Amino acid sequence: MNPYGIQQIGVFVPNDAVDVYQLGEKLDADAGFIQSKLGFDRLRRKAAGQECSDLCVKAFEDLSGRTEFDLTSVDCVVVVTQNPDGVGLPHASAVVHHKLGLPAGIACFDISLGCTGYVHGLSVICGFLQQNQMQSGLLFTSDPYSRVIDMNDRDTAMLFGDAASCTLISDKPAFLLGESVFCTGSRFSDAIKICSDDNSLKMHGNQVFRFVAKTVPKQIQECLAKNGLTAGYTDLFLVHQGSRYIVETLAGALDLPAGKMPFDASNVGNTVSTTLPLMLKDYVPPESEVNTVLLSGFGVGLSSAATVIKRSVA
Amino acid sequence: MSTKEEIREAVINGLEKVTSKEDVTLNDDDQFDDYGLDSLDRMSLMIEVEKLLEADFDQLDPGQLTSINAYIETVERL
Repeated sequence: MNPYGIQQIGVFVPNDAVDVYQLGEKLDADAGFIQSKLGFDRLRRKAAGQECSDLCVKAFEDLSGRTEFDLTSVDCVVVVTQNPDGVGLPHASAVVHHKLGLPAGIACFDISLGCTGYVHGLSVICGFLQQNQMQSGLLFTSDPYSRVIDMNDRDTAMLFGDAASCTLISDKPAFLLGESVFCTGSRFSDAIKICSDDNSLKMHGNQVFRFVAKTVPKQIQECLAKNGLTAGYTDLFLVHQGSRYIVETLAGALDLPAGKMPFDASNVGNTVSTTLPLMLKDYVPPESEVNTVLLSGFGVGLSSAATVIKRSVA
Repeated sequence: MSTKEEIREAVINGLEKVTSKEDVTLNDDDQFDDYGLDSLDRMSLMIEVEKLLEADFDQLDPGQLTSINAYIETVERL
């Protein structure tokens, strides 16, 4: 059993935001569709000039305010992003390492994933720490899509918000990581991509929805079985906040009671790999009575991944 | 291969689920647009019909499936 897991989570949500309904008027989008299907009222926006690494630093500052930990015990820094500083070289985690003034003997690397990135990232960092007998690591998510969104594109402009998270992974976890399941539907990889003409994000929403609706419910059930759980014995299902409709569709497919699979991103938008840690921070603080949580991410790739976290009895 | 009646029933059941309406009545020629379906609803309907008929429409654009007749023609071609 891997002894590493989530000790604490810090987040950063910018104050600036785009009003989705005002934007929708410009894009000729029905307000009812925005409310019932997309579900976002506001899309958060980083400040001009802020980079991926800056959002990471802000999330780290929030983490530092929530828990005391010895920075010298940090052995690795991992950043999940597909929108790193500049053009991605040097890697974002090296930039974060420098901005945090961390000592030299630390592994830093990025994970190039979108909305499945947090689930993958948990597996990667816990395995890395265990393999190398390390003390702790910082798992960041920071994927400011505002850099690549065409605000005139009705398919993408009303969805994405900027935010970041910093999860302290250690051998003194509040939640241990269970076994994960992964899926890559690369046949549909073009459904979410950066268009080389104008470097903006293009998304074929229907294809993505179809992949998620057909893949994720089965994957969640597979993940539960792999971890010896049933839906009834799982306290909470936190899924990627792609839209209100996809969350409701998944909840319906799994026949979950109201509240067990919340949609809670109205005020921030789809923050890519940050949606899950944002929810974890709010719904499962270390002192809560929630013991078992299923996490599910899905998106770019197309890919999907699910895992379970269980409260550590220690 | 599903019969026309099975396809018809699957589409009606799918529509009831997607629209949360009971006792949907629809002629084979009636257009789904009359039910105010948006693109996501049409995709959900297609996924539901696939499940009920154990069919796979693969990457077919649900916008092409605008009526019960369209579903019948499509399923018969599978």
